[in-house]
Amino acid sequence: MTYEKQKIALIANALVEYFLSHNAKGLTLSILEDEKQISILLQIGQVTLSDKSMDELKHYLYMERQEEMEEYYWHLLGNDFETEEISLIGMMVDEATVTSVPPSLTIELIRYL
Amino acid sequence: MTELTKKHHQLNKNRKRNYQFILAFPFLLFLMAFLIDTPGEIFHGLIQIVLSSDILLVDYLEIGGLGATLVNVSVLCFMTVTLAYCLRVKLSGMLIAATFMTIGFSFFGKNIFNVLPMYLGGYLYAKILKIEFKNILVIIMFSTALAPAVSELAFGLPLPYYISIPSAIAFGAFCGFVITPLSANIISIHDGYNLYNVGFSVGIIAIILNSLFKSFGLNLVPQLLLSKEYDLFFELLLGSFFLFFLILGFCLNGYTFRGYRRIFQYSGKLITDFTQLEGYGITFINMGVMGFLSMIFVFLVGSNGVYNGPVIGAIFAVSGFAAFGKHPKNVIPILIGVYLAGVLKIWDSNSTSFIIAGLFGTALAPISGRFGPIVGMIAGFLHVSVSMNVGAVHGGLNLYSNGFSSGLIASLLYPLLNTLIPPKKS
Repeated sequence: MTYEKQKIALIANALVEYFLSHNAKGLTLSILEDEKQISILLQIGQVTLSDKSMDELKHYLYMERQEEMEEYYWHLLGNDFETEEISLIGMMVDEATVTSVPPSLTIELIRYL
Repeated sequence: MTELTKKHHQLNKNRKRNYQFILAFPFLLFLMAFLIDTPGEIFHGLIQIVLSSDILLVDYLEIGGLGATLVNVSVLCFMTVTLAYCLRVKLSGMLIAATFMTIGFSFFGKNIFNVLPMYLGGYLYAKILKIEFKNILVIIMFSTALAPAVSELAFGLPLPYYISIPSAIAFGAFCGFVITPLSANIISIHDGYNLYNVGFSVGIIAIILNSLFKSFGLNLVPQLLLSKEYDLFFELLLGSFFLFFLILGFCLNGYTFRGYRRIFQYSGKLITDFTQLEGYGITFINMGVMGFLSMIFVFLVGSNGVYNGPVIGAIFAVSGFAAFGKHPKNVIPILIGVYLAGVLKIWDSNSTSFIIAGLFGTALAPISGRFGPIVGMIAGFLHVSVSMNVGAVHGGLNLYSNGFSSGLIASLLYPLLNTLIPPKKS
């Protein structure tokens, strides 16, 4: 996998930046790797997202993985806080789980190797 | 099976059906070609097209005739779409945009010979880096913007063909090889605010090549070979084509246009894939709407401008990118800026160069979508001036000349505006 480590770092960075821009507090990031996949787990102690923002977040993260997109566009990650940019994260991961227990939020992203 | 996986299966099923819709168009053009011209005329026309110089601005309708041009368009479209289908590339907004760019530029610059070396280079790149070729196929489709350079090297130099043709193939393969890393890095300059990013990257290669040509005393002469006699034919054909997309989108969207306005919320910056964000129905409706909007622009700004190869190509480019970022809200301010440039500046707004500069200027739609309509108008206004002058720098070797100029504008405006206007929080 080309630039795998850089891509994971950018995904994590973009996700953290997105939530910091939404005044999230108490962020904990874990990255776990085995021979089949890499998991990114972001736990947020406190964040306030409107219902619309939450729906959009899920919509974008639940997008289908598109390897054709990532080969060309992965450099765009983390340069902007625009919500659409989250869709690029969605296109770069195979599984996404968003668990909200207000005010906390947990996001788990899995990228197959 | 998780909910996520189920959704993916549904999308993949839809993609197969939608591939068939896309493939219907080249099939139809191929049939039309043989109804219009004889096989002999088509063959002769294709030879003329392949051997012609493709330095901007050349219209294959003028060089090879209607039948041969339609065959050229249909073969290139059929080849690329079939390749994408066989490689199981997902029918994303990016692929639709690349396919429409291929269709459009097959009217003026891309032909069945001069695009192939780039595919060879891309294939070698994928092999050496051990990545799947399908992952870079769409970028290679875009990289064929350098097709005129391949033709010029093959047939335009005072060298025997046994030297010039292999040199042209080697150059084209080199371009196909370098375009993926080059474009992927250059995109950071404007952060995805120029939709024709490959045009920006290819422009750099074209400038270097043109400079090399000049260093050896080879000065490329700009051309202006344009057809006039197929105007009504293409007005009707394009009108029917975009109406088909509107109806198709309407049907796929559950026999309603409901939800179309949601598309206006997106800035359109790379990557805004409407097929994924809003579904194929809304995407096809938007492609139809943007096709008609482009035709209205040609009618109003171009004082009922002539439908020749470049104008047809520019309309297809706008419609194709309506699957990948463009929508009326972010495009209309750009077009207004172009219109104002036509009123205030020295150029004849009825000319093909001006009309296509305006249509291709919509590559800056994300600037308008992100920073507002006033900035969009300024971007369109600036784009015309740069676009009308930048051809001299790359010698007409970059088919996506407007992509290069919009890249320059976006690279200037984005960092400045992003500092002055902080990103919004949703």
